[in-house]
Amino acid sequence: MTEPAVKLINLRKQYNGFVAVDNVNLEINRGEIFGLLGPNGAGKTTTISMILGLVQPTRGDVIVDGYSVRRNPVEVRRRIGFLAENPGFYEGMTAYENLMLTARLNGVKDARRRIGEAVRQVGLADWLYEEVGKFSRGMKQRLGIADALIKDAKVLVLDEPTSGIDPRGAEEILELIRQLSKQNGITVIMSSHLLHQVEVICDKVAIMNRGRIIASGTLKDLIGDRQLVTVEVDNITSEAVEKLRKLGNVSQEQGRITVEAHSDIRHEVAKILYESRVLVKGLSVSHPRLYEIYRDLVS
Amino acid sequence: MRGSTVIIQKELAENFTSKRFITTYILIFLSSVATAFLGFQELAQVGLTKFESDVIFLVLFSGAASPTPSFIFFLSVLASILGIALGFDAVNREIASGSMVRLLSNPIYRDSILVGKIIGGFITIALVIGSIMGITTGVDILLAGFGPTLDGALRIFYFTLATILYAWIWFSMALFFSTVFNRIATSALTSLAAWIFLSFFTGMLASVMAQILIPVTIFSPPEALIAREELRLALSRISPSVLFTEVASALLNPQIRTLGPIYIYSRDLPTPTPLTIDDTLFIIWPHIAAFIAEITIFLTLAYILFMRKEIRTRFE
Ligand SMILES: Nc1ncnc2c1ncn2[C@@H]1O[C@H](COP(=O)(O)OP(=O)(O)OP(=O)(O)O)[C@@H](O)[C@H]1O
Ligand SMILES: [Mg+2]
Repeated sequence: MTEPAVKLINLRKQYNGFVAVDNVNLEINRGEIFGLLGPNGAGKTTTISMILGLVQPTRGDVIVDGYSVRRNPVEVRRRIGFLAENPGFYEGMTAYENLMLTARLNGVKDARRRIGEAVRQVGLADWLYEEVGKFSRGMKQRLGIADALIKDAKVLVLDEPTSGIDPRGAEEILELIRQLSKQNGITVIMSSHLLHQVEVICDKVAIMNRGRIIASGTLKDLIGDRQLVTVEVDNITSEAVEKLRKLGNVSQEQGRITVEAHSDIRHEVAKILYESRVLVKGLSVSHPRLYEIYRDLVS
Repeated sequence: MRGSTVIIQKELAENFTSKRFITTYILIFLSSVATAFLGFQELAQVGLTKFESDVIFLVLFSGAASPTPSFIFFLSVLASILGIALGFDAVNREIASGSMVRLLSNPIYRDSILVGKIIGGFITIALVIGSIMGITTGVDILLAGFGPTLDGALRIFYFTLATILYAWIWFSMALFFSTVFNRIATSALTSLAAWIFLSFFTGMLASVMAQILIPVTIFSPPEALIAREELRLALSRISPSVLFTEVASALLNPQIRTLGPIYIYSRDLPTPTPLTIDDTLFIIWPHIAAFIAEITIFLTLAYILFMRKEIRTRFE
């Protein structure tokens, strides 16, 4: 077993009486794309800020590549490329000047070449000498990724990288993140609300609520053996619904009934409906999506 | 401290290209040259030959010859505006725009950002005031056709240094407010209010306070008068601009032998022999120490606050 790239140990942040992050323990392996999910105010940004040493933990520690953020924040920041929700570029400076600042703050050698390479990778080569103030949100996010590439970061931390970006742009950014992670073996930690996006690119996720991690693991881990049987019907008797409830959780919405169970229960469902003389127009089985798991956990 | 060096350069680049800075610079430049020019014309009417070469330059700067607001006054107003303009949003603007988080997520210590900002601001101020004093002196030399003596040149040089220090005080104060308040409007208004109060009302308030604490009537003995005057002076010296005016007049007027209340009564005495620059430096030294103390206090407070500040992305 190799050491995880990032390790959060009993991490806690308290503001006066309010606990924003409560005893968070996570291990993120090298090269992994890790999604941090949760509703507004769950504590995602606070957790991320503590990983970078921007916010001092009340208790606990974060270990990045063997360095403790408490004892050695500078070494930790040398290894992390961070893209905040607002990338925070100087709008009056050109993309090149902004990236050069990062290069110099990191003591990067051969900065010109590295900058050229990075903007090519994120598709902004033609915009290098334009003021960042002219950039769209999506372009700023991509420039933020270039910023991390210049540092040669081993870990990329992104706080809601696609918030406020149109669906196509968001897809492109996520694809870029995925590519970079796979090509360069970069470990990625990203927070998001957009579950279908997370589902596509993340190897593992953790769901946070009110400062706590309430579930974590691969999507498979989270889904487990849960299955959803969905039937389409014209109308259904309450008697039939009662019977279905014995099989598992039932939800109903306009001629569509979903039964959730831990195995494939299509036969049982069909049988009950047949016996209750309900006309079945369609029947299918599927695994729950991340959204359904999230909704159940967070509600 | 690689971090600081990079931040200093960034600050300088930003300062010297910002519209606000360029506007302030042009303002200071034009008013300085204009005052120098006007002062010179007034002197010329009196007749240049009446003055010794040294005195011309000093008189021009102190504006003693003219009824228009003196160069010292202009410079004290403009130097403080320059300091405030560079400082009032130095920290909170970067926090609000998110660039502070970006800077902080690099492998540098938090101190180096503040240190870089302070040194960057100090250098900018020194360059501006230095260049303007240089240009104004140059204009004067051109108009007069001759230059000051060594003592005169030294006096102008120390006057320049004192003005730089004076602007640093306002910069440090504004930077402190910019660290205390997250909202730029608040730090701007507070800096401005502090400046107006300290520059224009402290003198008045000091008189009122002194009269309340040591009531003096025309029948009072001279000792009471002197005591009240000393108290008034001590109170008014809370204001950096009062200190600056005293330092400036001592530097530009070799006749001034003391900055205490006696000065007021000694005006009509026979003209004393002028002081050497060394003697003048000796009498203004406590004031300079007070300048440095004020700068140190503001910067220390700003430093402590900045180091403990919660700097995070977007938090309302
Ligand atoms: N400086 C602070 N003082 C007091 N409370 C704070 C502070 N910073 C954050 N909080 C609180 O901590 C909680 C967690 O905030 P955080 O920004 O980490 O949430 P989040 O998961 O990132 O939410 P969002 O999805 O809206 O970005 C919130 O309830 C917030 O109000
Ligand atoms: Mg957040």
